[in-house]
Amino acid sequence: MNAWLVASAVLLTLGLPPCLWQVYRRTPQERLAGLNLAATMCSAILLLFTEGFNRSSYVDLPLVLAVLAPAGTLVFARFLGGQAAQGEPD
Amino acid sequence: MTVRHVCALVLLVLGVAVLLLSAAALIALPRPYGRLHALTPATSLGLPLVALALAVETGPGRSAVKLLVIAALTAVGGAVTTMAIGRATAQNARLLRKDSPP
Amino acid sequence: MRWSGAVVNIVAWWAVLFVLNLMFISTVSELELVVAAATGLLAAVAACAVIKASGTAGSRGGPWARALLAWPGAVLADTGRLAAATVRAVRGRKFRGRFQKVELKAGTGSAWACALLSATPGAYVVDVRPGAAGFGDVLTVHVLGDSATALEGVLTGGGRS
Repeated sequence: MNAWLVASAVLLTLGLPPCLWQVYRRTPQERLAGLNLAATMCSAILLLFTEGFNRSSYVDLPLVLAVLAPAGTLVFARFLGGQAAQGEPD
Repeated sequence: MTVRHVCALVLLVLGVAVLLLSAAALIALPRPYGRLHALTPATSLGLPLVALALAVETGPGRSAVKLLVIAALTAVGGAVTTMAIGRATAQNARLLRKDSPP
Repeated sequence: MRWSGAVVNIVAWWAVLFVLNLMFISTVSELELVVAAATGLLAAVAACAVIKASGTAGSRGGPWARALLAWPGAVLADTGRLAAATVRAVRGRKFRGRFQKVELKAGTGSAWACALLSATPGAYVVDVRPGAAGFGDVLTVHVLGDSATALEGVLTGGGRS
């Protein structure tokens, strides 16, 4: 058990639950914010696993997540923002 | 414990602290627009500090460059997604002009 | 000639992507070099096409060097303010952020300026309106507190409107 695994355990137990709590409630846009922060937390946790388990091949996961998570958030934001622009009856 | 290891641990503690601060700010700050300010410290400061700690630990070489690229990608992606979510929230609340592009 | 600018762009992108690709893989052989060169070329052409299609190709001017230098200090200062605001919010004192209109200095490219400003925890940009001739673009920015960072001073060249 080294410092990196302790840090990733701290992030998993203390950092992810607030994000999941935010994903659970209120409007879709606020849930999207929680989802974005959860993706960043997961990136950090996966990065820490690289050094914690001492396998350098694990570092490809946070690289892919860092590229794809913003793309997914942008897709969601595009659909959520456009809801008010079209089609809502006045 | 070498100096490099101590530096890496200090950076790690700082990075984890900033990430936990963002998580706390996400549920504490006033909703809905205030909470979006909590996303940026995690991507601009928290994750780059963690990646820097790992880069210091692994020493100079290819893997350090990979970690720093992850940090840069996350910082840029975080700025863009914060803007996108903020804009989507404002558009949903009809705060922006009607002819503003999506 | 206009296409020479495009060729320079593609070559620059290709060089960056090629070097990045070689940095990421563990062992470099001839096959890897060929693959990196070919896919780098495809990606560079795609990147330049996307930049041209997004309409931000002209917005490159402005004090980007000074702004980049002011950015880390702004991130640290804003994180401190965010921590103070979180403590205040947890203690139960109600406060709200507000929207503010901020005008950029004339000639500043709004794309990179908005990204740099949103990368600080204290503000994020929600809307951009092109300014009148001779003036910069007007941004709608959401801020939490009252004090502006030095980065904002560099980008706007003055106080908030």
